[in-house]
Amino acid sequence: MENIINIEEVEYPYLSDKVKILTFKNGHKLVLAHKKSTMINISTWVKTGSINENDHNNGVSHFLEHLMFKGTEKYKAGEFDKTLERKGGIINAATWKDYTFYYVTIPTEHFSLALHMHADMMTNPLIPEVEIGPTFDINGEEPKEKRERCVVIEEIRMGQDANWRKVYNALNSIMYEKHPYRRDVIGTKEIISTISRDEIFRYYKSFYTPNNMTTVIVGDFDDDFAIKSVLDEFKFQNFGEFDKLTPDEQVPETKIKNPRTIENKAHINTAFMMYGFLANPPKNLKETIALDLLTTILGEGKSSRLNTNLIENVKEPYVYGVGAAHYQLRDGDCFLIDINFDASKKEEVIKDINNELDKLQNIKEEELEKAKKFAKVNFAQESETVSATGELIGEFMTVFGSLELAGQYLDMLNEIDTNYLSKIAKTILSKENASISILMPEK
Amino acid sequence: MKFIEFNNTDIVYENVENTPRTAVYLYLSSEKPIKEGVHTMLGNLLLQGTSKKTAEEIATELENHGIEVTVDSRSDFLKVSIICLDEDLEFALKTVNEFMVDSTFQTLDKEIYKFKNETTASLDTPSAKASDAYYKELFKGHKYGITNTKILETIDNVTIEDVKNYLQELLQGRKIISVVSGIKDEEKIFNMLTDNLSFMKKNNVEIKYNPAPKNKGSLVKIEKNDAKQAQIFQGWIVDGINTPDSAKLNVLNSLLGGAGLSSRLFVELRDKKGLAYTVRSSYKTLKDGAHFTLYIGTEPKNIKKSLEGFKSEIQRVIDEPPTEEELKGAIENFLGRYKYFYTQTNAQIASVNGWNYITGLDFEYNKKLLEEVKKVTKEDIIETVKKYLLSDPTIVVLAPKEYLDF
Repeated sequence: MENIINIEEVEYPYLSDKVKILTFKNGHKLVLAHKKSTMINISTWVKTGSINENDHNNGVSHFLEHLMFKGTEKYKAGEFDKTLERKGGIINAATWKDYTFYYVTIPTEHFSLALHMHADMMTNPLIPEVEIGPTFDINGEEPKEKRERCVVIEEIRMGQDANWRKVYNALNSIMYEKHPYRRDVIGTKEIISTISRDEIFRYYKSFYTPNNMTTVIVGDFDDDFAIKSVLDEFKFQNFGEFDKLTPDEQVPETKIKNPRTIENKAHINTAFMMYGFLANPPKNLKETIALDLLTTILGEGKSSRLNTNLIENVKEPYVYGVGAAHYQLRDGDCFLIDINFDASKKEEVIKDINNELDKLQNIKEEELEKAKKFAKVNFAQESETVSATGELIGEFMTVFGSLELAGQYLDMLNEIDTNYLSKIAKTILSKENASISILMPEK
Repeated sequence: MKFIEFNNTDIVYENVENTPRTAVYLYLSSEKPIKEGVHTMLGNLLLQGTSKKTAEEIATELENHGIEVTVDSRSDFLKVSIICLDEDLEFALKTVNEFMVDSTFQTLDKEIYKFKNETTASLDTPSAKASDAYYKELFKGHKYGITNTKILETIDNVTIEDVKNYLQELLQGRKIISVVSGIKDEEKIFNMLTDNLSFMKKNNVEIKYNPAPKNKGSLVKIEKNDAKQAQIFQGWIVDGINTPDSAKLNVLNSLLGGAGLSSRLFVELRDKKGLAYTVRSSYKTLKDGAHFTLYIGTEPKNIKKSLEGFKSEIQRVIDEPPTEEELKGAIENFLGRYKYFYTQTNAQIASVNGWNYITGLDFEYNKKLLEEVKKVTKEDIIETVKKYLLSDPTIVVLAPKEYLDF
């Protein structure tokens, strides 16, 4: 096939066959992963999200994701959902800071139809004005025709009622100085109510280009058929010359320059707190694995240090829930500690967390072994369904920049010792490096 | 799938090739009524220490092996799920055996303290608060109406003796080990299960049913003055498992609001009217009843419009019944979602097989249900709506005070 300029094969944990990565002449990538299943998963990952937005169009990536389902020349709005869901398909999409992805998981016999409609949606969306709905003043009268614009505004409202989301957004606003990661992916009501169809379509033309997309297929299928179908069905439009959007400067921020604390209030009974740290991009595989291991040691599971020391070993704990999380982001990882607690004990909680951060520079051998086992089991879990496998492959291709790193992950685990882990904890997770976001009850 | 009595233990086993993790689900049930809060405390206490090991030691041992053990204690059953790499199975079973036969429950007071705080914390989420109120109202007077906030009222009366006695009741009740694994050697796995889980020996216990009675409908309004969205739950108690209407209700749910992006509520209330991000229906079956529920999260000033939307979409199923194509689509959608949510992982399969046994269904029940679903007609759908959804519903609305006058 003359359209293929490169084929790579990589080992992937818990899949018996090697995974193929094809690069087509137009830059579009295709990943083929075989897994025995009655269902097949097709997803296309676009390397764009809030990272490519600015203060004027924040939320456009996510709004566009909604509008991609609103019809093409071949299929009017709703046809895609109706046709594939009526074949037993699970369809949806998600937008994040680094990517936007669209997926279909469907009984394997409908592979051809699903791929045809998915490719048509990705390459030929109409984004019709009538489906977007009119622009309006969010503080004025509401529009007569409430369409997708209002749906997204409802989604924003939903987020405003979610306490952890409020804490996380506030944290992002103080962790980053300039990087677009500081903005909320969903945007603001003010922007969504006024952004025009032209601006949205310009964003689509700028970023939904073949060299910015990776399609992943996971399931039981014939390679030649899949490759031919993708080449035939992904008919990328040529938009000719146009004024492409230029993203804001994206200088990676891998350490918080000005660690600080932000405190907000809400009508709640308990308090919420989140510690945030920044680190290097995940292509630094060893470091990102170390942060995964530290997440487990510190805050995953009942035997984690935070759960043991702040809840289980305390007679009357003032911490009600505690955990740690590690987000891999293209321009630099983010490590979080989240705590839900008795609001009258704020100072004590900060002291407790700081104390745990200090102690993190001493890791025991058995803790390391436990965390390594967790990492292996997580990979096994992610390979249990076609959809979870597709999602992890898409994330490696888009955020890590290479699927080979998935293959290397388990080997590199064995290279990590307690000294290295302590060094990473000291360098990245020291209390002096943290920004803190707190949500307290209104008095 | 194979159902076997091995060493006087009921086991249902399924082999799925090339799966690295084995799933073992233990289901235990008792037919005796229990005091409010006891089953919750049993669930919270089972991993909290034995006469030989502390909670920390148990958790560390399990997690050092990457073994997931979850205890789910409900009014209908106790479920202990074990998911681990094949190589760690025997160790996992030994640990589960230890806490099932030797838990001391000495930290009851602390667990009560934690439960109170965790419940209070969960009510900071508006949808959780509305949902708790909804189930409390819908199943008022029945065990399914005993939600966490209801349990809070009497939790201080629960004693260690209550918890111990309830566990004994469960051990003398109906039990099943449901296992799904890549391990092909049946003899080996059956021996491993029965050698290590001797407390799972079978008892011949008849299942009793205590169906939740239909209610008369009511409206509950909850004030939350800083809520940006109103939370609206509307529902009915309907027929559940093993009834002729179950297949029809499943298809009606797909058609109305359970199918994803193309069901009627989604298209009409979200796509065409822009009222919500989340709008859906659900049909949930439990051992002793079932409910059909509509949900929407919407800007508070849309409460009336949303409730009217629910009403008109229900009526429209009668006035504009599904075409052949729409009906076929709803059926196919149900079948596909079933495949996706219940047959993809060892854990999903083990959970379904165990649930079928403990609720008195046969292991072919799901197969039969899927066949029944395929036979549902337009007339069935209309009849089902008329039978259940035209009666007065239970409605719970959470919103700021100024929007609750509707």
